[in-house]
Amino acid sequence: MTVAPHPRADAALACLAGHGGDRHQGRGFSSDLSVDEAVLLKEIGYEPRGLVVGSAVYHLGIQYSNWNTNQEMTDLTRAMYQARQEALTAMERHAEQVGGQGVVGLKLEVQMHSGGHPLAEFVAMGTAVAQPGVRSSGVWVSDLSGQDLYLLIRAGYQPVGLAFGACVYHVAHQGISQWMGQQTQNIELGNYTSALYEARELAMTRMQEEAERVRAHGIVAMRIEQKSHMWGSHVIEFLAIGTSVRLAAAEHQRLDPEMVVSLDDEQEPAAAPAPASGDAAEG
Amino acid sequence: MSDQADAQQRQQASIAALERGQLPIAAQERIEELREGRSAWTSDLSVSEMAAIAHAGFEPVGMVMGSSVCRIAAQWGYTTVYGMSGTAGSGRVRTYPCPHGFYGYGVGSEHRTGFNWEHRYYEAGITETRNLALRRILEEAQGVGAHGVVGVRIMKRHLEGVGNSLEFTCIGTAIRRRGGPQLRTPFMSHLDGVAFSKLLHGGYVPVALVMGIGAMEIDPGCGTEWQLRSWSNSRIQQISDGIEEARMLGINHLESEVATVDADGAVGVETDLAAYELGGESQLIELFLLGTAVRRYAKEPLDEPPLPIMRLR
Repeated sequence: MTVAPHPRADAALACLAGHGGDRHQGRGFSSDLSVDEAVLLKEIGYEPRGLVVGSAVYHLGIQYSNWNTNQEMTDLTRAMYQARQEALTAMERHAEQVGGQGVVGLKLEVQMHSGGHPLAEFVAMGTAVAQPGVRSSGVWVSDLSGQDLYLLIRAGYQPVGLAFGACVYHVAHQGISQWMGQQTQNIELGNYTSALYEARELAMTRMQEEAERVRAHGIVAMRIEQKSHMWGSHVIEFLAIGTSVRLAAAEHQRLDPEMVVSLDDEQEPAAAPAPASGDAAEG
Repeated sequence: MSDQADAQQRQQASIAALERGQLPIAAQERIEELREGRSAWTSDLSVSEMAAIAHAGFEPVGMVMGSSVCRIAAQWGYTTVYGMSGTAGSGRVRTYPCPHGFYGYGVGSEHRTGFNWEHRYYEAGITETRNLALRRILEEAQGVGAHGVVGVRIMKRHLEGVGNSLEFTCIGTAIRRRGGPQLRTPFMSHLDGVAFSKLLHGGYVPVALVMGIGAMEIDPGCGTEWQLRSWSNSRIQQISDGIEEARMLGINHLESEVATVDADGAVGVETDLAAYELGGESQLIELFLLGTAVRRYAKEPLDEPPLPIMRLR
C-alpha cells in the first residue's frame, strides 16, 4: 500500500525523531489554552508565556442587617471586592515574572469551603501571553477566550483590562400581616424587585467606573453573576464583570464573515449569557 | 489441570512479568494480536476525530493502556515527623509563629506555631506511580508499532483515603503514519484526535504527557485559628500562602517536565485542586496539573489564515 505524501506529518515526525524543527526561544511555557486558542493567538503575534495564578483565602464574617430593610451589606461588598482584587494582583505579579504582557482566558472563581469556618477561596487563573519584540508596560487582563481575542484584535480593538463591580445586598423580609394579606393574590413583591434592581445597578455602575478610569471605549462580553454563596436566600451578591477595550486602529475593521450552514448533527448550544444560578431567588 | 489452577498460574506469571518490568500476560497477548493484524483495530475515536487523524496523515492502530497501583508513603504533621527543631531537609516550609509571643507546641495548647510544608515524599510517590503507568502505555504503543497515542484519559484515584495507595491508569488510541520513521519514544497527548490534527496544522507536534503535582500540608497556628473564629472579614494569610504555594509548585513541576522532554511548552493544561482533612485542624492541599507538551516543528503556522464564519443555525 502506498502512502500519499503529507509534508506536515512527515516534518512533525522528523522533528520528533530528533532532527530539525523550528524551536521556540526561551523558557518552556505551560498554558491552559485549547489548541484553537494557541494557534489563533500565534496568528495575531502572541505567544504563551505560562499559566499564572493568584489566590486569596478570606474568612467571611457576619454583618448584621435589619430584618425588614433593603440595604447594601457594605462590609461584605468590600471584602468580596478586595479579595478578588488581591487574587488578581497576585496573578498579575506572577504574569510579570514570566514576562507576560497580558493574561487571556481569565477564570475568576470563588470556592466556598464548607466545614467549620466560613472560608472562601478566590482564585484568578489564566495564561500569560506576550508579543515577542514589543515593549509594553503593565499587564492587561481579560476573561475573553483566544478565539474572542483574535476577533477583537482583527477588528482593530485592544483589550485594556478587566472591569468588575460587586454588590452584596440584603433583601428585606416581609412583615407577617403583609404576608397574610398577600396569600390569596398574585402580586408583585415590590421590595424584592426594587432590591434586585438597586443591587444590579450598583454593581454595574462600579464596573463602568472602573472601565472609565482606564479610559476604555467600552466593555465587551459583560455578564452579571448573581449568587447567595453561603448567606441564605435574602443576601445576594451581584458581580458585574467584563473586559474593557479600546479602539486601537483608526476605525473598526470589517471582518466580512463567510456564512456557513453546519452539517454537524450536534445541536450547538446558543451563545446565551450564563444563567443566574438557581440559589438566588425564592423567599 | 483445572481452570482454577490455570488462572492462578497465569496470575503468578503476570506478577513475575511486572516485577521484571514487563507487561502482564493478558496485555502482552493483546499487543501481539494487534501487531500481527490478526484482530480488527480498536479505537474510541469519534467519527470526526477519525477523519481529522486521517487528514493529518495518520491511522489508528488500537487502544492501548498503562496502569499501576502503588503504595504512597506519607506522614502527616510537621512537628510529629521532624520534632520541634523543624528540620525538614528539602521541601518548602514556612512557619507562622504565635502572634502573642508564646512558644508552646503541644497538641491542645492554646498557643502554637503554624506550619505550611511541602510533602516531597508524597509528590514523589504520585510521580513514581504515574511513571510506571506511562511506561506501560508507551511500551504497548511501541509494541503495536505506533508513532503516538492521542486522546489519553487519566484516572487517578486514592484507594483507602489519601496517603495510602494510589491507582494511576491511562488509556488512549495509538496511531501511526505508514512508512514514518521509528521513534525512540512514541508521542502522547491528552487532547483528542481533532485537536491533534489542528496542532499539527498549526506547526506543533505533541511530545509527551506532562504532569505537575504540588502537595502542601497546612497546620494552622494559633494566630490563624483566632482569625478563623473572629467575626470580621479578613484575609487568612497562612491558608492563602499554602494554596498559592501548592499551585506554584504544581506549575513549576509541570514546566520542569516540559524541559525534561525537550518540548517548547504545554497546552490544554487542566488543573485539579483537592483538599483532604488530615485530622485535627490540619489539611492537605493537593494540586494536580496535566497537559500535553508540544514542540514547534515549523514556523509558518497556517497555510491560509483562519476564515471568519457565521453559522446559519
